[in-house]
Amino acid sequence: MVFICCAFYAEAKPVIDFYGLKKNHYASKFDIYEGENIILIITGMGTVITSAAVSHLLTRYSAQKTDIALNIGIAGAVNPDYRKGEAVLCNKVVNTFSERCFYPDILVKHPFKEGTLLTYPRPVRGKEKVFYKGDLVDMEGAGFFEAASSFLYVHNIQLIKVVYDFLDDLSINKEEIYGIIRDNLQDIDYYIKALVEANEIIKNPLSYEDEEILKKIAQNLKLTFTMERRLYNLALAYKIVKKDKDLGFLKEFLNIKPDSKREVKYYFELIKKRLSV
Amino acid sequence: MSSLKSGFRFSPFSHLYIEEKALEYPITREITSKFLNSNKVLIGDYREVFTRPRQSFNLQKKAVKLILAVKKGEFLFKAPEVCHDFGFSNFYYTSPILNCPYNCSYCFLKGMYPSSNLVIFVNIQDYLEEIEKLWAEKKNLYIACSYETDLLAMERIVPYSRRFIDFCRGKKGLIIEVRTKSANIDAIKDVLPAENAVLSWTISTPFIAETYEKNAPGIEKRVMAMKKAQELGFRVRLCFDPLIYYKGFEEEFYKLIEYIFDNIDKSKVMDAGIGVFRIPKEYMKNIRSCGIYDEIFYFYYEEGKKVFSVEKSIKEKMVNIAVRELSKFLPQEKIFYL
Repeated sequence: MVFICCAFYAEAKPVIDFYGLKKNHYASKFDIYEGENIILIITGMGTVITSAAVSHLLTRYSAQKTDIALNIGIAGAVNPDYRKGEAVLCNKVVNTFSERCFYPDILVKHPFKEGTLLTYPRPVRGKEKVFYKGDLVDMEGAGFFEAASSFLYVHNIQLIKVVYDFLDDLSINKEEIYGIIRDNLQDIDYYIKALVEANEIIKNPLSYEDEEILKKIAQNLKLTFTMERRLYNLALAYKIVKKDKDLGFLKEFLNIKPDSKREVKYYFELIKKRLSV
Repeated sequence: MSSLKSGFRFSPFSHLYIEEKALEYPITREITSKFLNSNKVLIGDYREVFTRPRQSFNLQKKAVKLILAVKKGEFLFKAPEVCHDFGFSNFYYTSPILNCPYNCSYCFLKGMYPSSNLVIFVNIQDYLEEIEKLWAEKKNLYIACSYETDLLAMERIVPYSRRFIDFCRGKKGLIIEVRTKSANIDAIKDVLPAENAVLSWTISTPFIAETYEKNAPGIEKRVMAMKKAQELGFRVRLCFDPLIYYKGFEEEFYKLIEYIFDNIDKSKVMDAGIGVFRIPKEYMKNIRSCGIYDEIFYFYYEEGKKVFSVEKSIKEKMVNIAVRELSKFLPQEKIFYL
């Protein structure tokens, strides 16, 4: 799953159109748009609300570590080498309020320039107000990253900021924002696909179906937490060592509901034996 | 999202993360000059990058980054029991580089560090000074300086093998071991060998090398590098560690030993170490809980007090085979096993 976070609707609109996302009318806390394997949330401005939105999103959709979270939005440029409308991939994010730094893990080749993003708690007008070393200024990035890093692999949390101004003018033109983000979406889409493919390499050998079987067995046999972990680890080792074998043979245990602890132990031992490598 | 393949590629060495304090060291300038096209990201402390939560060790291996840092705190550590001491009581190890450019499936570093990025500590002089202090105190000292990396493989990026060899020359009672799987012997061919510097090659049977030692040079290349090292005048050690059992191990090991001693001068072999695959329990726990799925970590192992290892009977069988074959070429007192 790919999760995209934008601060406000004008940033989100080109993404919604590009992927043909549809609004989820049951989502009441934040505006959420859904498509095939892509979910977009409009977080609002500022680090605190962004953190809340990201946590809400990743919890609501039961995010896995191998899912991807992308913050797409506009930013003000401190770096004079950038040009308006240019997309920059952030390799460092500084929370100027807490002074903590974060580093997205950039593992695949990409078509963007890179830079350091400075997240400020309020709008910054004038480069002379920027007291940290950095290339870009926004109000959400650090909150997005810090929240997402509690859920996902660090290489799956990426920030792409499109240069909108040079801290000289704080007025917003929605059509202009739509245009400059839309113009970068081909590259952004390529990058998303590259990340999805990279994650295939480290996919858990246990499939969703395997995990469902294990969960059901644990439920029926009323296994303790420790026993359930043991069952999961045995199944994982079995899949890795036996390579192409599936766990279909465990289905015979799906309808067993033991009457006593002794029976639980008996069946658990039986399963352990079947899963030995 | 359409399911078209992106045709993506990983980007090794695309980033250098550099501690601000490391900028003033000449080694930093030397390294950065070799990576002109890489993104340089300034960091406060290397741990901000190296110990980030939820890094994928195996995926990072495909796109490894360099972190240049200044080492603080302890420089030398007493070697753990799971390591060969080769008969030395004052046995320490030091790590001027963390992590290895190779990607061996069985590597204990996967359970030791949260990241597979390479950390190079640029204040090498501080390491040497600490070793000198300890040597002055202990008189007899054995230092392994390439346990958590492969210094020789890294020599073209950062020339630390030669620094250690030059440093120990003439220091009586101090022995430095550089352990390696590299064939990169030409990188130090201009270095004057030192009597007390040992180049120690890890050798596996071809099946294990091909299956589990990704990115590392093949066995022939390693043996040729050993041969050249001997010709250059270096002291060479053989390390058969880790031994991993499989059907056909005995036959392949026999051929391996024959091949090695057909090519190198047995009279110039300092000694040989034998160790069966073992991994500290804590590392195994880390590996199995953080999305590392190399099959080697999921076979059945016997649980000891501190380590996981193969069953005792298999361990004894492998050690016996290794000792028997090595005894054909080396005297017993030159063969060490754990």
